[in-house]
Amino acid sequence: MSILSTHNLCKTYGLGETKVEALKQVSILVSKGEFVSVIGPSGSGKSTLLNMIGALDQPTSGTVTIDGREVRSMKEEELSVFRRRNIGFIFQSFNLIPELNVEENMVLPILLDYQKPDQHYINELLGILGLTERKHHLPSQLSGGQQQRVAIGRALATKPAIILADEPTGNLDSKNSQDVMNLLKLSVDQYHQTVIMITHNHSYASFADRVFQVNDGMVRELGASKR
Amino acid sequence: MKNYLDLAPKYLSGHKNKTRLTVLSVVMAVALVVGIFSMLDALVTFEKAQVLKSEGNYHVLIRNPTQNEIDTIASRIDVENSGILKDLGGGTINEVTCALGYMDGAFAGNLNIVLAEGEAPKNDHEIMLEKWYLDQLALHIGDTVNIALSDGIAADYVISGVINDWGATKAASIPFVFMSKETAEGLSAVTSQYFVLFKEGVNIQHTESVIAAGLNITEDRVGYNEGLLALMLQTKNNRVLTFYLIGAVLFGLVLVTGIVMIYNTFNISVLDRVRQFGLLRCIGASKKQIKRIVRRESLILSLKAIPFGVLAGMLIAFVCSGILKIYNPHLFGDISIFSFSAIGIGAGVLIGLLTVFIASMLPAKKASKVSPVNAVTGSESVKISGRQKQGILTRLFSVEIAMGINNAVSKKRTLILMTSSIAISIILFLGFSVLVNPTFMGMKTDKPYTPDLTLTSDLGMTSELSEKLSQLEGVEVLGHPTEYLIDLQLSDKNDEQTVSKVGAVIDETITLHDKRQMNAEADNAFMTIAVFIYGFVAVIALISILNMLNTMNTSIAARSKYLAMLRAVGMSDKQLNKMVLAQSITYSLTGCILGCVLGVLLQKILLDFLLADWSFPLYQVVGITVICIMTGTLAVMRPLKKIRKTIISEMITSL
Repeated sequence: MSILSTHNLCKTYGLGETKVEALKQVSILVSKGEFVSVIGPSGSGKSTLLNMIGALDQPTSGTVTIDGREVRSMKEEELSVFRRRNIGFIFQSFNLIPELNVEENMVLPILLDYQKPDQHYINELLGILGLTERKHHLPSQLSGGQQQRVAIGRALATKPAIILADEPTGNLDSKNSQDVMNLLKLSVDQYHQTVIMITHNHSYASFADRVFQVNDGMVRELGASKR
Repeated sequence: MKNYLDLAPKYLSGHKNKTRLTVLSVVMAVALVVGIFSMLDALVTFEKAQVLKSEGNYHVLIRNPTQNEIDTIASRIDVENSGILKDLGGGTINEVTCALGYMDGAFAGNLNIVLAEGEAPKNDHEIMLEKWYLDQLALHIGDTVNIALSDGIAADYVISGVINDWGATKAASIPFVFMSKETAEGLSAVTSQYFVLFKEGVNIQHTESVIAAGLNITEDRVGYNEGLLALMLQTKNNRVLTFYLIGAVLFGLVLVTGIVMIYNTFNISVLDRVRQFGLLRCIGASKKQIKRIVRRESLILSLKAIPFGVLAGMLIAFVCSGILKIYNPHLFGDISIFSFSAIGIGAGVLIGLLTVFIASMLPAKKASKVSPVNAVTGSESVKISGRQKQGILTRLFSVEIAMGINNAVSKKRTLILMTSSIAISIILFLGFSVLVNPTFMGMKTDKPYTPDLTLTSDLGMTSELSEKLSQLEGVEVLGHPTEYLIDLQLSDKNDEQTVSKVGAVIDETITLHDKRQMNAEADNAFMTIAVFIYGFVAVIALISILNMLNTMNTSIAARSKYLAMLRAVGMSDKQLNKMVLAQSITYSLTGCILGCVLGVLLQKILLDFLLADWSFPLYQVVGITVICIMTGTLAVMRPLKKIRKTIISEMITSL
């Protein structure tokens, strides 16, 4: 079954002469447990698509349905709850809370949902991410690769329906990028997560089950790769 | 970490520097409110002591009462104490003019007729005299003096008691003679006044009108102890009510200032965290949760700040009380310096907590409105209007100064916050300076030409006498002495020996008027008000300057990354200084202009209301402008030094 679907999704910014059509009639389907990558040049509309899918921004027209629920029909408060339970974000610039240590950063989304973290699961994640030794460190005491692993941990902690990764390797060297890609792949294989990743790097795009190319606001599937 | 709200204390301890500035700002706001209101409270206490001393402890008086009126009023359940004072006309005592009178023993203390020695006259032909007169004539209790009444009938009277000096009679050199009840009843009074002190909690205006209506007492026969009634908020005197209104406006303004100070501080601290809130929204924090985090932060900050603020405010009030007590230990001896003003502390804590909640509500709302997209895109947009793009500023100034001014002007919210923060302090200062006014303070007697002693004579005094007097040690003859009047000033006001030396020089035809006590009493009245009014103004000025320093500091600390970025692209330290200085002075001047315009307007309105003359407060405005620019300059010194010391790369990577 599809965990994410968009139907005739459009997003326009500005009015009149300055009007920009960032997304034009985008309709895609993503099934549970799929690893999807989105590629495209700067300004093609990748980030806009991600904002729509991540329920961060409302579309001008068209629908986004995640796990059977239509994003547009939800009110602000509902949307926050929906986001914290169903979507995990990974950013290019890590975006960890500088005042919280590794473990605290990871459990924060769970706490925001007024749940008690499953310590066993968190420890397991820390182990997989290679951060067990570092769980009491602050982000400023970690390398970029380590910080991004914490961000992956934070995204996985709530077991969301979709993980959205926006250029997760953009700020990393090749060794760390490789690690991050392996971890994302692992989360798809081991935890049956759905991952949607934006990337510039075509070789990392090939890690994915499917690849979408965005060009001038239009999305085209490049056809199933390897698998 | 058990709860997402733990983010609040973690954020605060993670940003020690910023937290300290915020706490300091709340401390100052609370100290301002606690200080001013505690001082107001102390002022009322001290003024009351002053009024009880100078005007007496009574509420209303009835002129020339009938016996029926006296009996009716005295038997009322709401009357605490009452008594009659009769003026029995003038007379002579040992052939010197004197005033004769009678006072009910039970009420004498309320009018500061205090027995120093002996006892009050009980029997016919017993009298009570002032101490200075006895000393002057070397008389003692039990001695007999000859008194002639206004009708010329003379008789011998025995001195039964001595009372403390009265400033006015001592200065006039006319002794007051208190007679016994028996003697007084045999004489006809010129006038009499029936003094009434009501019990605590009695509505005096109402009761007085009930009594007057019941006994058909006309309004012109009723007098009020205005000073005391004003302090008890029981007056219907229009002039006093005007003062109340002005007081209410000014003290209301103090509360508003406290609120604005705290509000602005929280606002500034929330404004530069847009990104962080966006991020939290991204990982699933709801608007409500963001609000709760901001409110929790505010609560922690105020719980830290309020106790310090209260302490600082109390300290300010203690200093004022201390000054007054040192100045006049007799009058204010019973008043403790360390009195805890419930009004002051209550107002401070209330304003602190309430404002923190209200003030944090709006920034919290703002914070919660941050779109989560902000975290993804990572930029807060600065809207640049078309006009600024044309670069008028760069044509007028060098690029770094133009950037500084532009930085200040283009961020509208920060501009509004800084400007209003500075302006409100200036408005408050200008408003309170209205109180530094003779109408409020009472005329000060201690001018350089105020005589301590005055010699008068109907027969004339020779110039040799004034020469002789000027040769006495510690005595200065004031101005040009005439045949009939010589004014003297003493270098030591408490030097009784010199006074007796002066007494020894003059003969019987010359009268010595000892004006020292009267002057001192007037001085005290002036000092009591002046210490507090100057105290108010000083506290406001001090806190305003500190607040300005602090706010500037906060706003620069918040921009350290931006500044690091500019340094990275090649801005020299000198240029950086100029830019930040230009920005800070822009804030100072906008605040200064707004504050002066509104403050001067307020001054004019208040003075018009008082029917007092208004003139443009040029000196004040110039002074404020200078202080504003100086503070603006001073405020950027420390943060700039710190910014120059930091390594650029450190700041940039944390972008």
